[in-house]
Amino acid sequence: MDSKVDIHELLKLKFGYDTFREGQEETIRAALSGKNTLVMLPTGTGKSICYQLTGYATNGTAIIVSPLISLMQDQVEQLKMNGEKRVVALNSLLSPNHKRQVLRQLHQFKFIYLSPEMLLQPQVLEALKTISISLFVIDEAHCISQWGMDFRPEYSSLGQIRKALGNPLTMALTATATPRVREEILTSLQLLPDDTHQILYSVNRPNISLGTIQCENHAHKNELVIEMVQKISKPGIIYFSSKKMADEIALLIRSQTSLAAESYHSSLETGDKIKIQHQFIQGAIDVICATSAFGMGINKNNIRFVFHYHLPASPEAYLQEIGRAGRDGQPSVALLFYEQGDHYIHQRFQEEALPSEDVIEMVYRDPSKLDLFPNEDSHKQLLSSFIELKRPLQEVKRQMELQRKVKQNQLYFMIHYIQSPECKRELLLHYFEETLTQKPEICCSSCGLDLEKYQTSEENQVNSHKEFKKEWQNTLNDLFLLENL
Amino acid sequence: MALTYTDYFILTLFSTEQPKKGSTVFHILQGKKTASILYRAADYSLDCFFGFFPTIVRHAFFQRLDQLVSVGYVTFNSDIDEYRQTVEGKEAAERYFSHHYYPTKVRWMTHGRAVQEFQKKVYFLTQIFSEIRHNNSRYIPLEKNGAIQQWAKQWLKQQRSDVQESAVKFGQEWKLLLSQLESENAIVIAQSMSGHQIVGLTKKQLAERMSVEALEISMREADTFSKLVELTAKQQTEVPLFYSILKEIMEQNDNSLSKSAKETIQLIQKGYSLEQVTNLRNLKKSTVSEHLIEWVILFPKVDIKPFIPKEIYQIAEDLMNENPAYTFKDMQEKIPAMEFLWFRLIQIERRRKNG
Repeated sequence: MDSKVDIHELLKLKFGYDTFREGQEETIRAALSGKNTLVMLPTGTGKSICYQLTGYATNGTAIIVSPLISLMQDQVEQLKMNGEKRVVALNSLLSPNHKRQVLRQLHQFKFIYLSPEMLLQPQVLEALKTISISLFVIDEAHCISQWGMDFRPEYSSLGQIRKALGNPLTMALTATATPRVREEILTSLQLLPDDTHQILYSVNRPNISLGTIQCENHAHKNELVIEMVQKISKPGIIYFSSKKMADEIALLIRSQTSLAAESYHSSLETGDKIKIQHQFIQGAIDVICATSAFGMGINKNNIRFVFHYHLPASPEAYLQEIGRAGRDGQPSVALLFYEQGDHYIHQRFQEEALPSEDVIEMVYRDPSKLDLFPNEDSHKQLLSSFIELKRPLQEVKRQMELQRKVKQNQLYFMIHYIQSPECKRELLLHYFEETLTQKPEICCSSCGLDLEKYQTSEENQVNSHKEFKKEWQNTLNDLFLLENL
Repeated sequence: MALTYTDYFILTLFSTEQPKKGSTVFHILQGKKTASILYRAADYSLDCFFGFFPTIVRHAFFQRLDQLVSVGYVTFNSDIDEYRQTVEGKEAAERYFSHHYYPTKVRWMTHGRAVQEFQKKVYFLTQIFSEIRHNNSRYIPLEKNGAIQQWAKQWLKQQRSDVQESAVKFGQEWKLLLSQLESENAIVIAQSMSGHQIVGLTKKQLAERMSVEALEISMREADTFSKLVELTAKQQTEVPLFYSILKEIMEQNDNSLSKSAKETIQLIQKGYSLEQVTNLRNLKKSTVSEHLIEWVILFPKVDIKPFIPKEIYQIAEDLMNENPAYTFKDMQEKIPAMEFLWFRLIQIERRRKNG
């Protein structure tokens, strides 16, 4: 490890930034001094720079375990855009041929992104053993824990894998983890608390004010959403639990206001999804009506509001989603609209989210029954990994029961968050076992939230409905600079 | 409830003369690759839309069909499970499509895959060349498919001329091609393009701006790209860059056969008889027959005669000339040794000749 590396120079050279953001330098310095790290930095503060820069500053290859293919692709593209060619994502999208080719040339890469499933494949693990690993990164490390959100059974094998790889220097990153989750991350990765440098920043985002709005009924909710969307500075995101409602409200906004609004969810064709993301980043869309599918990998600093039309499933998810607002540090607002009974949608999701005891037993008796499930079925994926990991039946049943309870408690917390007259910020921090040290000037709807302060200013011109260009020749001229040739 | 573009489109899939089974039409749209569906697609004259809606939902399709029955545009004979367009239905569809777009160029069964690949590749190269023209190398590719990304890299490497020059040429080729299209179609294609600081419109956005349904835009796009493929093939020397993309796709485009059928056909092409293939591949005779039928439908130039005993072919031909409506059963009465495969092959050949 080269301790003489000037990390400020490297930051400028590789990423074009002059200064580090909070927590980044401390993390990088700790890692460069050879310490394992557990890093909790709030959403939107640039966690990836922590490991990417450490990777650049050390010899060898950084391997990064990431739970979502889309997240991996985004990171790979960002690195490539910054001129890094020695980067690859090993996941199920890779053709068998291409995968073999990559495995043969593994040492040529500086950054290798992997899904945990891929890491469990013997030939992948063997290939990784042959290269020099500078850093072992676990992104979204809360997936290790059953007490957080997005528990992934494959993540619980990472400790063993780390050992098999000779205990390389490790960096575990997360945005939202309670002390209990953090403890489980350390235990599971076999990191000793005394030997691990923990860089923990508050989940609090003081420039985002928090509000909850109780609505009388569906129509009232729509009315209020339209009113707020017009009033408050844009751009913004409205989150939904249902694709249908996301479409409907986007249409409603387009028809009742002059704003450019689009919906975004898993039913869109891939090409159209990418177009909408890019239009939003470019500033051609004022409001995105989206399901939770939208947001990861969206690097946009000036998002002024995040609304929730439906109740989020957990405080972890809520913080992650509202954390997309105000990354530029400017005042931003998060509003949660609630109408009586909104939580039923999640209760139903929860009932469907995990396999029942009967199903678990059936599959354990005869694993070939898994073939009866469609491939994309989440129960199938979960149960297949339990079986592959050879988890005993009783343990799986116990885990599922625990998951159910955890999810239920997370939902109860969200209902309490809406209904309680106490300070919303304090409530959220309390959930993560933090205390609020300094109340921001504009805090939350319980402390008094003057939305006038977030009103659209003259400079915040919206797109309004774009005129439709009927001159195809001009489009080609603009794309290829064909005029005056 | 007012009928939509989708409803009218479904209406056009039925005919006043030939009754059609609902589930067969559904499977044709979905692109179910079995010999019988492929045959029916040709028989129903719907091969152009074979596999055009791979994600179509059964329930939704039949709901729309029921609605067409309820307004009297289609009749349903539940005894034989067949639908038929009514005269009112025919007239309503004609009225509707006199001011809405109806595709005439798509040949999805034989060309669908190639057209879609061509479209993906030229849109991606549009982005790449546009960024090159603006001297920008820091951008996120809009094409996420790794194989296409790889392909683009290789393709660009193969170009002999200077990359700026190629980029200009690519733009000029686009101009030449779009100038030969109906202007609305050229607009749809140009407005879908993305490049340097330009993000193309989605189908839904185009639909809204042109005050039509999204499916109408999809139809325009698929039809126009089918037309562009045709133009590119005809004007090789005028659009050499586009042609080099197309040529490569056409050369590789044997993927329209299913995987197992491809293996069977490879053996047949090596000179193995159907019986030998059946034994060698450990398949049922009927499966191998299906593969053969799939092949002759998808590749209209394949000669069927080698698969039928000469004397049977001759008698059957004569009988069919006498009475083209002969069914397999009728035929078997006249020629007891007749096999279904032979009968089907002869039918396919007649369809090829008569259109």
